[in-house]
Amino acid sequence: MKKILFSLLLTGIVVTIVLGIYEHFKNESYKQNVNNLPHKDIVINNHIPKISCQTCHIPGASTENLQGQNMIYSKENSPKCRECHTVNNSRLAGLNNIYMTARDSNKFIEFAGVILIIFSFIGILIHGTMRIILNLKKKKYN
Amino acid sequence: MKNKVYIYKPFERFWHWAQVILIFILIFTGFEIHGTYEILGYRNAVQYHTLSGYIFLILILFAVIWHIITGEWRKYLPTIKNLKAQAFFYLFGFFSNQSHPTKASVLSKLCPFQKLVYLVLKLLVIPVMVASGFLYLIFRFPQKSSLLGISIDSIETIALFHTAGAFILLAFLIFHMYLITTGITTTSNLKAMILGYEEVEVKTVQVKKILIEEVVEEKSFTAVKEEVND
Repeated sequence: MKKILFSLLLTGIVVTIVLGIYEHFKNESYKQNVNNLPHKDIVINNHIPKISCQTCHIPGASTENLQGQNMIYSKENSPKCRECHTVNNSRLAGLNNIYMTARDSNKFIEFAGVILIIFSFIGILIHGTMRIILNLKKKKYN
Repeated sequence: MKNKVYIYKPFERFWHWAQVILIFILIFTGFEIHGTYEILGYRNAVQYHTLSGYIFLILILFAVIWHIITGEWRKYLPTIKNLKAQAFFYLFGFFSNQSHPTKASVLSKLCPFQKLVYLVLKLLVIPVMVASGFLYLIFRFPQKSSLLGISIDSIETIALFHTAGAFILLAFLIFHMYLITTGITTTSNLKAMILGYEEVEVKTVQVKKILIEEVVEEKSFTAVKEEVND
């Protein structure tokens, strides 16, 4: 009885996960609308679960950086990820009321994180060299 | 005399090495997405990060079920016993050739320090990373209805938690990889994680004594007592 219940639970969990992933990537209606766009490969392959059309095609993005442009691109000129997701000269630099990955970061967390990593390395270096030196000494005496 | 003691079960070894691969991919692509360096390309990095995130979630679910079914989760319950002795061992005793205050066996494969660190890691850092990662993944801008996704305003908090967790995990990995070399020999811990066995430098009787002491806690003393008498 326990085994049956457990296998049912396991199947349920697995099915839920598989269905969830399928639903997450499916989004059929979106694809049909997007199929006519020149930059459909960007929108379908990568951005679809996370970002909708308005992420790029909003007034806030075009007023400062892209004056006179309607932000509709030919296939060749369609924007690459790093044109927006970068610290320097981001296309969406004017869009400063949202957090954007790679464009924005919290200075305190960056600083604390780098310090943490550096101190970890220093710590293991000191501990490791001490071990090596003391091992050599021991071998000498023996 | 050296004895081979069985420490890591097959599933644990599989779990560990799967985690090794996944966490290395996640950290490597994660810091690329973060903008620290440019190697794979942003799009590839995001795709690999997402895929390995899903695989990691499945792996966690299997690990949680395994720990509950086998009762192995008890091994992570923290003890203050021996904690002080162990701190002194790593700070001072290491250099004066003392033996390790707690010995690894199949019944207690984690020393008190490990218990504490892994408890924090498994109950705090990993859940925060997984939760913030998947919230990051399902957010949608702008929010059309409340069920579609996470509001754009909350994405900053989610992202900052995810970044802070990544730094802590990286620091943990650095210490973890260094501590591999602190076994009985430099490679004995690594061998134990690959083969499941560790060579322990104690007499057979001592091994059995250690086993008995721990089995008493598990309340199956009689079975082991018979074994020893044989």
